[in-house]
Parts: sequence; structure tokens; C-alpha cells
Amino acid sequence: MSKIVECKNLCKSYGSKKVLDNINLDIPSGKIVGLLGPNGSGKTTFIKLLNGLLTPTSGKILIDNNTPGVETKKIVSYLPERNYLNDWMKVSDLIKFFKDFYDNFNADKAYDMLGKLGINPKDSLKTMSKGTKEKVQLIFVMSREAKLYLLDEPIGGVDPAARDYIIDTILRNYNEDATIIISTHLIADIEQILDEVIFLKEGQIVMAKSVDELREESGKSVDSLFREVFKC
Amino acid sequence: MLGKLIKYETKATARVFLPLYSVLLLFALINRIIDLFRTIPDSNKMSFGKILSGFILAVYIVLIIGTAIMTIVIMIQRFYKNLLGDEGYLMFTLPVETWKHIVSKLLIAILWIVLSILAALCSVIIISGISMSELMDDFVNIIEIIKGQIGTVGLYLAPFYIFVMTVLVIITIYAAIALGHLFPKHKLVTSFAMYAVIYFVNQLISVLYIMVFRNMFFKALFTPALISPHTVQIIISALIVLEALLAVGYFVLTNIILSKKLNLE
Amino acid sequence: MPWSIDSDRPIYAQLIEQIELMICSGLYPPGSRLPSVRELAQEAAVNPNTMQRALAKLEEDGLLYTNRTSGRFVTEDVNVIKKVKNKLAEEHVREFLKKMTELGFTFDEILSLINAKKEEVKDE
Repeated sequence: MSKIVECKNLCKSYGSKKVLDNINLDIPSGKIVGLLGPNGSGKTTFIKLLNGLLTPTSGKILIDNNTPGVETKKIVSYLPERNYLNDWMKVSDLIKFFKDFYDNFNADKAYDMLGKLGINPKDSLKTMSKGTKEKVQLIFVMSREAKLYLLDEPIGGVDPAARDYIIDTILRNYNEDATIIISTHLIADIEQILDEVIFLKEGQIVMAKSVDELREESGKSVDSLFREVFKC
Repeated sequence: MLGKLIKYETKATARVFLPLYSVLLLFALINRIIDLFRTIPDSNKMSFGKILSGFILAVYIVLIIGTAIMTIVIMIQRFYKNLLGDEGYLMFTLPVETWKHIVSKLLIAILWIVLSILAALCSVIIISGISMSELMDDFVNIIEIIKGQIGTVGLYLAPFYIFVMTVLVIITIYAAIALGHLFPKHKLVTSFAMYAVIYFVNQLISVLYIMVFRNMFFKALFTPALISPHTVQIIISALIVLEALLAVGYFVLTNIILSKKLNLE
Repeated sequence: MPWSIDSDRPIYAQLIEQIELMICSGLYPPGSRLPSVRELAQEAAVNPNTMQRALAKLEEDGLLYTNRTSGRFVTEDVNVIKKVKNKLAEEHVREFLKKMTELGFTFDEILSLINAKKEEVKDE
């Protein structure tokens, strides 16, 4: 099992504010990893460092043995916590766009998933409800045959049925040559599909373990454990 | 990849610019047609015809100025929204080097500026009702006059100079936006401030540069009638070099900011 | 039968229990073919690696076997299944008796309660 993510003494600061402090981490491929922590713990910063939207202040970060750049962007598929697809393009145009820029974009898969949701490719995102938009964005991300999927709060802000759909989609598209990192604070809904969890507190890793190990040792669910670790 | 970026940039901007220029041309066309139907001879009194003419002319001028302003505003907004707004999350995670993003936007901005000037010229031609042969004659005359002043070489240098100057203006705006992005608070105000700073810096550099060629420049300033076309050509060439260097400088600055100091909200 | 997964305990252990139950109850009869790891994981809404671990353990225990080309099957050896059935039954009985004695019932009282219930069930 190869390492898809490698971090050594990774630090990120904005001016004097240290957001990530000395992160040392290795993540193998074929895992579904939960990146858990309260707001402001550095989760989003870490994810942005992984997809190249931020550069480290110090330390090393490697994706599949490459520093973040054009080569890593080819194999990383990122779902941000916002509407990042432009509103006016038709879904079919967006599919062409992704196909143009990503060799590993599977348009058939995308059309299939969109079809199952009853979304007309001729529609533009403008005409869709918030929940539908989020599902569409997830479909685009999961239709890439990437080596690292970064999902930032994929189930926040959607109704429980949509959450089930999203979790199902994630499981359905899982492949053992890829790793999925899910950053979330809605742990109870997602902990069943996780292999491992990383607890991030104030920019530092306070725990990185396999999920069943955690349950066995503590006799608790990850959700309960989280509440304990991060009690206000 | 650069080609693909250019393709999408064109598509995204055409949906705004094509209607805009079409309106301008359409207005000119309608105006011309109305003109053709006016057979009432003009008198010195204030006739309805004269008032209408005046009104249409005013609207037309507003449209042309509006088009020019819109072109610049849309260009700025496009750079900001697509790269530094929410869409930035899509653009900067594409497997494409940052400089390609800047270049694609720069090229398309130049395209639309050129097209906007063409559209304006066409609208003027349509409204004035000038015939093609008259136009060609006037055009050839103007070229001859210019040739006299700046020489044949100068004639070819001039459009090149205008091109480089356009590139410089656009890349300066991009650099100002990128610099403004470095300050998380009050990005808009900072960008404007940055533009002013860059403008000032440009002026400073230009003055220093001109000092090198001071003899020629002062001669041109104080005794314009005595300059040979050759001198003018050297001056233009020197300015082209200066502006090209500045443009490259600002391009590099913008590229560094967007690749190393990117911080999307 | 829907999967009921509790987040408080290791999921891998729960999956083993549930699959054992499915085999014993006849949902997956002896010799029948199991869906793929992926499909099972999706059904249960759990991580495929965890499901894989559970299935591997069951294979180790002899309840399942893998045919390299055609997939995973429930063993045809009914004795193995019976053993598991008995083990589960024993656990349930032990649990039941513990609870009943906690409530203060004697063994005879428990037996008569069971007989009474048996008549009820027969009438249904």
C-alpha cells in the first residue's frame, strides 16, 4: 500500500497567526479518512495545502511523491464547501469543460449519476435548488478517477435524505487505489464509512487512529469521543 | 491547455460583449435608416427634426462612452470574479500553470478592446453615412500625412507601440488586483490604491528612462518641427522597450502573487 | 433485513454478527452466493475495508469460502452453520437467563413462563 499523502513538519501561518503547527502525517491509499475538528482547527487550511490552493510556510507536503502543482492537481479531486461551479453554464457544458481539462474525468459516469437524480443536462446550475447544486458538485468530483479525493464538508447544510445519497455516492465510487479525505464536523452521520480518523485541534493533530481501534479502546462512538476531546 | 483556457475565456466573455457591441451597431444602423427617411429641409428654426437629431447624437455619444467603460469594467470584473472569487476554487485546482490563466485573460482582454474600437469605428462610419470610396480616400490621405511625420518604419512601429501600451495597461490592472488580494480587508479599495501606486511607479521609471535619452526627447519637446522621422522612430522604439519591460515586470509580479500568495476565501 | 449498525462498538465485530445471523436465519442459505464486498458495504453503509475484514474473518472461521472466479459463498457444510447457530443461541439464552434472574425469577418460574408463551405462540 503506497503513501498518497506525506507531511513532515508542515506549518502554515498567516502573519503571526499559526494555523497549522508541525503536522506529521502519512496517509496510505485505499482509505476513507475522516478529518475531524471544530471550526478554526485548521481542517480547511490543511485541505487547501493538499490541493495546492495554499503554499506551506514551512515543512514538506507530498501528494503521491510530488509537491503540490500541476502534476498533483491531475490526480486530486476537490469538493470545496461552496458553489464553485459557475452558475450560467449548462450542465452539459460543464461536463465538456471537465473532460477538456481532466484526462481522468469519466463523463459517462457523470451523466449516469445525473440521470438517476433526474437532472436535465441542458439545465444550468442557476435553476437548481441548493441541495441539488451540492449533489451535482459532488457528482463532478466523484466522476474523476483520481487518486485523492478531498471532500470539505460534503454533508453540511443538506437534508438527511440528501446525506444518505451523498454517503452512498461516496461508497459507490470508492476504489482501492484512491484515498478519500472527508473533512466534517457532522461525525455521527459519517463515522460508519470511515477507516481512520484524524482529530485536529488548534492546528495540531491530537489523534490519528483506525476507527474500530478507537471504538474498541474507548467503548464509544467516534462522535461521543469527539465531544469529549473537544469539550468547550 | 492554454488554448483550452482561451476557448473558455472567449465563450464566457462573448456572452456579455457580443450583445453590447450589437446594441451599439444596431443603434447606429437604426439612426442611419431614420436619417435616410428625413427629407424635410432644415431651417434655422428649432424644428422637431433638429431636436431629434441632437437627442439621438447625445444618446449615441453616451452609448459609445458607455461601451468603452463597460469593456474595461467587464474585463476587470472577469479577472476578479473568475480567479479570485468562488470560481477561483475551480480554476486554480485545474492542472494548469498559473501563468497560463493570466495570459489567457490578457489575450482575450486585448481581443475585446480591439473589437470594441472596431465596433465604435463601424458605428461612426454607419452614422456618418460616408461612402466607402470617400472613406478609403480619407484613410489613404491620413496615412500619407503620418508617414511624412514619422517615416515608413514609424508607420509600422506605431500600431506595435499601441499594442504594447494596451498590454501594459491591462497587466497593470491585473497586478493591482493581485496586490489588492494580498490584503484580506478592503480588497477593492486596496486594489484602487495599488493601481495608483503602480501608476506613480510607472511615471517614475519612465522619467528615469527618458533621462537616458534626454537629448532626443527634449529636442522633440521643444522643437517639434525640426525632428526627423528617424528620431521619432528611435523615440517610439525606446518607449516600446520600456513599456514591454514594465509589462513583463508586472506579469511576473502577478504570477508570483497568484501562485505563491493565493488565499481564496 | 436491514443492517443495524451501532457506532459505539467496533463495526467490524457487528458486521460479523449480522452476517452470521443472516446465514443462520436462512437469508443466505448454505451454498448461496454472497453479493460483492462493495455491494454489501453499500447496503450496510459502511466502509468497504471494514466489510472486507469481517468477511475475511468469517472465511477463516469456515462460514464462508471464496471461489476465485465466481465470488464468495456460504459454506455447504450444514454442521458448521449449526455450530454457529448453537453458539448464537447459547449467547441469547445466557443473556436471557441472566436478565430473568436479575428480575428475581427462579428456574421453575422461568420454565412455566416459557411454556405459557409456547401455548400462545401455537395459537397464533
